[in-house]
Amino acid sequence: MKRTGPVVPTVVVAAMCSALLGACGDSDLAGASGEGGVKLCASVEQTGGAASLGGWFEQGLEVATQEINSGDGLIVDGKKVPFELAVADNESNPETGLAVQKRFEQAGCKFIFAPALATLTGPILQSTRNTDNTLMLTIASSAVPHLGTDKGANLFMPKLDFPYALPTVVEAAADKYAPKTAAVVMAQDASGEAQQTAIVKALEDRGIKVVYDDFFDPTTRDFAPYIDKIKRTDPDMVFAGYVDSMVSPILKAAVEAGFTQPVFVGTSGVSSKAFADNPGILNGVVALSGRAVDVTDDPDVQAYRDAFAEKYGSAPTESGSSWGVLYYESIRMLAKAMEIAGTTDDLTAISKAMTTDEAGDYEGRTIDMTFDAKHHAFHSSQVGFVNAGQISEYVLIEPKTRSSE
Amino acid sequence: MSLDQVLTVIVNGLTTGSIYALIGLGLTLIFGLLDIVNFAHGQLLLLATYSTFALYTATGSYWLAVACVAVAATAIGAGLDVVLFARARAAPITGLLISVGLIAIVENVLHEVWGPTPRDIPPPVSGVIEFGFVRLPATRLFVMVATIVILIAIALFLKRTKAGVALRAAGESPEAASLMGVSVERIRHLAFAVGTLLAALAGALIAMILPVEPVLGDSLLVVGFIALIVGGAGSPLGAVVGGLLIGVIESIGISLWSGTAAQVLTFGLLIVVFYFRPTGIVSTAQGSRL
Amino acid sequence: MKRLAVHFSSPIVAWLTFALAVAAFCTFGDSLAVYVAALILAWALWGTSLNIIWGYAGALSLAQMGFAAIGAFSVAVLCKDEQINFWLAVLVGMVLAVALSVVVGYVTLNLRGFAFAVMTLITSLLIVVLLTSWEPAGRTTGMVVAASPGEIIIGSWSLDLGSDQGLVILLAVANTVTLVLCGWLERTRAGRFVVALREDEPLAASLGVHPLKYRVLAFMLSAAVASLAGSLYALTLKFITPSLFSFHASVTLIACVVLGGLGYRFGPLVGAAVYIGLTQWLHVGGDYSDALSGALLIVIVLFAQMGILGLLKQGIDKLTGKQPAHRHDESPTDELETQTGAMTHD
Repeated sequence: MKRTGPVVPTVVVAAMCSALLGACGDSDLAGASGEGGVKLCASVEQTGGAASLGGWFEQGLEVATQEINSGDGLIVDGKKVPFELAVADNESNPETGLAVQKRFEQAGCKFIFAPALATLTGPILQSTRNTDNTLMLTIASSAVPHLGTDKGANLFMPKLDFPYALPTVVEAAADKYAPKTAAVVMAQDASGEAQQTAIVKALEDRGIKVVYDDFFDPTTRDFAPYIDKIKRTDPDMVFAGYVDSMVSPILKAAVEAGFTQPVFVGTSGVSSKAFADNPGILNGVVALSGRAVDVTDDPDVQAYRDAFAEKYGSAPTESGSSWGVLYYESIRMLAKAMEIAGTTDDLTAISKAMTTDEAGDYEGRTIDMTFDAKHHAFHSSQVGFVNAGQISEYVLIEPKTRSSE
Repeated sequence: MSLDQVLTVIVNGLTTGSIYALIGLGLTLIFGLLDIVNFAHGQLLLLATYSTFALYTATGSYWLAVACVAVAATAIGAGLDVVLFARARAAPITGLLISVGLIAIVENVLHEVWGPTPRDIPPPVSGVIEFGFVRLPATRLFVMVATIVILIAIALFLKRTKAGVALRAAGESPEAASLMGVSVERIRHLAFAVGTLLAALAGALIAMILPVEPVLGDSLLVVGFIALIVGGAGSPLGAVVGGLLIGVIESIGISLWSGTAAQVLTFGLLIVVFYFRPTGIVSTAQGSRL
Repeated sequence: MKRLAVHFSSPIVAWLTFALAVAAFCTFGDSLAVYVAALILAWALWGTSLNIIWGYAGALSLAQMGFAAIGAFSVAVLCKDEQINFWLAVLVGMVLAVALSVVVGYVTLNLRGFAFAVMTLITSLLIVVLLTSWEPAGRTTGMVVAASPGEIIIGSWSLDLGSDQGLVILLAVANTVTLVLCGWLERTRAGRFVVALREDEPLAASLGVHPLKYRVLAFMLSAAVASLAGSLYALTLKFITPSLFSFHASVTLIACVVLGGLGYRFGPLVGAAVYIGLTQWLHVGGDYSDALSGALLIVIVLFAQMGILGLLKQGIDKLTGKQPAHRHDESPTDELETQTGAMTHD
């Protein structure tokens, strides 16, 4: 190949220097923690495969931040302290996610919302994150092995993880409909696999026979072949997909195939909109983290709805709210913990204040969430029973307690 | 499995396959005749899908929306070729990179304008048709029929019209064609325009069946290319045959075994076709383009 | 008096500058810069592996990321409980990748161009599909990479090779070794055979050069390099999933190589630096930063069709008044020659 002399490495050096320089300034995060504000940095999947999820998280973050800043706010040492929310796009890409994390750390962010995708948070948690200097919140399942270890010192998972959340849903659905057989089909990704494991185990524990158990490529939207196969195994209950964008096409294919008898169960994250769009499905079950946000006789929920309207000029929809409220409540819990601990800097004190030891039961607006000593979250779920596209009743499920781990 | 079940599996495969066929159709013209690997095909398709959705919402008429999108797509395709891809004639890999850049642009714009939430179009036809135990949704039947119609239209265009014949001539031998008075550059613009039009039609039809979201473009693209290869690059019939075949194989794989098995089977199909008939199942007169 | 003649074709200056750049990064770079440097070097190494089979041997391979996956997961799986030495795992990965390349190569390298590309694409896709079904690899959830490449201790100075800076150095060394190897191979008979085969196969064959054998050799080397890069990349991210090595990654790889200049030895390095720089650094334009990167890519591609290095070479040739050594043939059948024009004379 051509020898290209000194010009080539000059270009390489120039490129790398510009990279170095690029690191020195970041428009997203300029002005780290100035003016006494507390900087919250959130890595969100704004683009890429998980963009629809990211949008809901961002909503939760924005609503909470605005509500706190415009209202009584966070009061530490008698002074009102504003939250400054900086949101960066991780593109649903692990390489970018890690770069965003490093940006956050360099900008001196102490409070970081890590990506929701396990494939992104995994590398972040494995790299030398300085646990003394950052308090991190993430709902990604890759956080679970770290909780309770040294790395979990200032790490919080504000979501009931699947092995604890899903059995309660299965129980509630089984109590109501008493199925003998069930089919499970999930997306072939980290979340889908984790959910499938939890659901299958819960079904088997309950003595329900799992007659079909398979995965689909996460990009699949054409489910006719899967529905055909499931139909032939004749299950009483079907667990299919874990977000509206998957479940809605699945239900549609089921209606088209005339497969409307079994009970279709959506795990937490699936809203009744998927069922409302497909009223041909006779019986369905949805599970929301916390209280439904379109039920208005609850004053706490109404407070959330007001805050949402304040920010976006419209009411929150049930679709996606299940995800957004997790982050909404997290910020509010963080604020309360800072008030209890009387500091916005001492992470150990704040972490301690976030757990049940000191904070007591946090009175959430949309969820009652608590963190145990290892920073696992516990919260209730609302299981909704759907008939012909309409929710007919809600049942509040308390989480099973964890055995001491 | 009973006959009805077998039929259902095949019908499902054909309906899924007709989507793949549509995409392959558009790709084959651009790749087969222009040697351009247009990775942005999926994004252009998606742009058409979103535009159809927007126009349909605005005007209330699906057909009007499709017509507008079709015209716009042809113009955009020609424009893209004139401005960008014409410079890539000597080096097809440049065309590939241009299309990579285009993907980023189109996807970003789609994302900003419409957001990541999936949208649904209420289809212009509805209902389910039953043949015995085989249920075929009207929308899917419509897509299948539309695919065949488009295929016939393209075949007629290529064989019977002056422009179509010139297109084929330019594809087989640009030098000879230009000696015969064909403006090869203009023909290439036309080819790209028609290819984009096909992508747009595919997009408009897909809107009837699948929810629309920005990431739809990528997954369909890979299958489209596989359909193209199986059928034979440069052959519209081949693309359709390839697409339908893949759809059926996937359906069989899922029904008999699992999703993973279906993927492996598709690759297996590709390997078998390549080994025994490298020019594709429907081999064209010009053979393999490279 | 003898002077150290440093003229434009001296590679020593190139290497020195490269070494200085790496050293500067490791000493002065913040954690983000060091991480991006590691990313760039990993992609550059993959780019070189593609350059070997595509630039040299003239066969576009989409299997490089599949080989990378083999290297990455070998390290992750074998070193899981820290029982197996990291370097042994790297070797295992390379052996597996090379073995696969032999099988795929002998079957497909007789086919030309498009067919070979397709077969390698399938190989890559198959590897990813199989990995996502494989329990020990964590399926789609992925795996922690707990491996440690060891330490270098010189007197009182030690460097943990698993640290951010250590990885950059490892990757830089890997790149250096590979590029030196390429430079040496160019001059050997085998290397010249491979290029000759690419240019004019019947002629070369008539001279007794066995086409398939030499192409497979090139493929084997490219597989080994890709696997090595995969293992080091796994260390950089410390948590890998099969989806990292999907079709999208192959597209990125092609972009890096072509951007830098296909067939130029330092092409992948330049291309990776610019492409990764664009995608990880460009935050101008806010919401439209992706569109801007895309537009920039198009602009660069349109105005530097021979890649950045090709453009530079043209510039240098003009400045030094050199006549271009061969004409660019515009006929479409010579598209590869147009791309790799620089390689036809050395």
